[in-house]
Amino acid sequence: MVAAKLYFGSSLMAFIHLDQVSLTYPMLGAGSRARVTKTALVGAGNVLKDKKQRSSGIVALKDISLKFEVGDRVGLVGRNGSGKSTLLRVMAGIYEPLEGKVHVEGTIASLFSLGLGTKTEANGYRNIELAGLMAGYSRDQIDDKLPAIAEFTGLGQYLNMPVRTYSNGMAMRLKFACGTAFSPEVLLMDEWLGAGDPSFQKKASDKMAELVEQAGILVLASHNYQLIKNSCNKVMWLDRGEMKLFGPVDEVLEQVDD
Amino acid sequence: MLSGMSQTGFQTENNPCKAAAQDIFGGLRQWRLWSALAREDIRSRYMRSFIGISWVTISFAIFVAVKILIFTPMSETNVSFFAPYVAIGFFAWTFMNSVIVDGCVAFIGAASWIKGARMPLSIYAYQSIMRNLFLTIFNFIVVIGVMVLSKRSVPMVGLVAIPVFLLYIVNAAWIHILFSTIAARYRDFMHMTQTIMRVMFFLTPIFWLPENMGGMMKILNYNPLAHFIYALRDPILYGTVPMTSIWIVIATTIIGCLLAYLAMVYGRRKIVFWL
Repeated sequence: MVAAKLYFGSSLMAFIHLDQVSLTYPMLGAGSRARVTKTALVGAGNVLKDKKQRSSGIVALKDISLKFEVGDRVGLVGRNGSGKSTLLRVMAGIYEPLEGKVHVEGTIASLFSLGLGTKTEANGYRNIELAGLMAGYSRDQIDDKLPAIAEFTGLGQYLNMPVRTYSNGMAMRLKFACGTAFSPEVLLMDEWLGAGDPSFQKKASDKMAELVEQAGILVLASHNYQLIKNSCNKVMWLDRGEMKLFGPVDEVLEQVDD
Repeated sequence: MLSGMSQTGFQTENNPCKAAAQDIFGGLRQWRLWSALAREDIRSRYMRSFIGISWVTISFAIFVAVKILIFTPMSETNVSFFAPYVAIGFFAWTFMNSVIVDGCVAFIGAASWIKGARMPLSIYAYQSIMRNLFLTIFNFIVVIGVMVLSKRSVPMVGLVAIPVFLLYIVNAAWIHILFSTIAARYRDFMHMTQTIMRVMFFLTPIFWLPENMGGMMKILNYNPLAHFIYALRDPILYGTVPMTSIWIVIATTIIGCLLAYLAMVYGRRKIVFWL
């Protein structure tokens, strides 16, 4: 912890520390009328009851502690609703757990759902600019990076058009380029590369490998074991919000029963 | 930690009071981001329209003109007094109304951003305020136009309106943070607020004069929005400083800021789950 303080803001030691993190989703809009049965919830399935036995929340993560260090490329596996996306969002700081502590060091790039953080009426260039401002960079720094990002997207003239006119694959190219442009040290990805064409997938996985090599951490949630075998050196298996197994890729994947 | 480089590392702050203060003040430092987001809001709203943002001025001017035309005879005053009376009052009202209505949806409207990256929530409030401030400039053009046409000079005391308008902006901040938090949790709140504001428009002295209302005025003076209007309009129009109204505005500001802070203490980390 002392070392972390010393190096704060430097790129020397990225890490992700979670200490006994538990997270419960409130169930709004469902209320007392919600019919929550064990079978309805394939995943977390731990429904909290309030005093009147109404369901008041779903336990998405239970007592998760972990330490990821530089060079860790972690694949997150588990059934739908097992807490993979929630865990990624906790690592990105979007969800703050009510119990436990989260400490992430290093610049973070989170590549989650496509629609998030995009102005669909604005064109590609302006969205790149907004992404840069979100990441805390000045206009000058963004202007420096702009040609490289534009190049990486391979979108050419489309960057002058509103993002709402983009196809899924094109939007993904833009987001990936924006997210990875500022050399993040922590790359969080949520089952994501599906929409790209093979040439871009190749480009993207090369970029991922390059970032991880530059003293980075990758956390990738996916059901694609081949992708995990290719990109990761560790696997974490989540089941109903709990960490079931964590270790080398082959060892863990062998035991996962989907 | 919500630092200036917000997608750099962070550490969860387990003290909600400290975290709320970090959110509110840390968000202010990101002015580049919320100004850019506000600019994009306006760009997309007026995109592909021929006269673009001039619509703001035009629609405000027409509305004020019609109000002056219809209500001057009823007001038992002359146009050179009543025209600026309506213009300033309606200018203040338009700002307050859009701040209160937009103030309910700052977080709901930014749901896709809030779920996409760790940012101080307050930046979405500041984005909305910035947008409203920018649009209000276009309304102000009409106020100036009316003042010039009705050949009214502004007394020195009129400068009091400047700090009063700054208080308007501070009020916009607490309204956004408080109302957006409540509206994210209770979706009825937004509809309720809109309904109330529609009624308040008629209960606030914008196109009628308090002195024409007789005994009713005792009740109408309980409307805090009326005092916000007096505090801005009286110095410009009458050259007087309505101290009672100014104290009410200041008290509202302080109480509102405290409530907004409490809303952040209680709701900050829950808001993302309510969206």
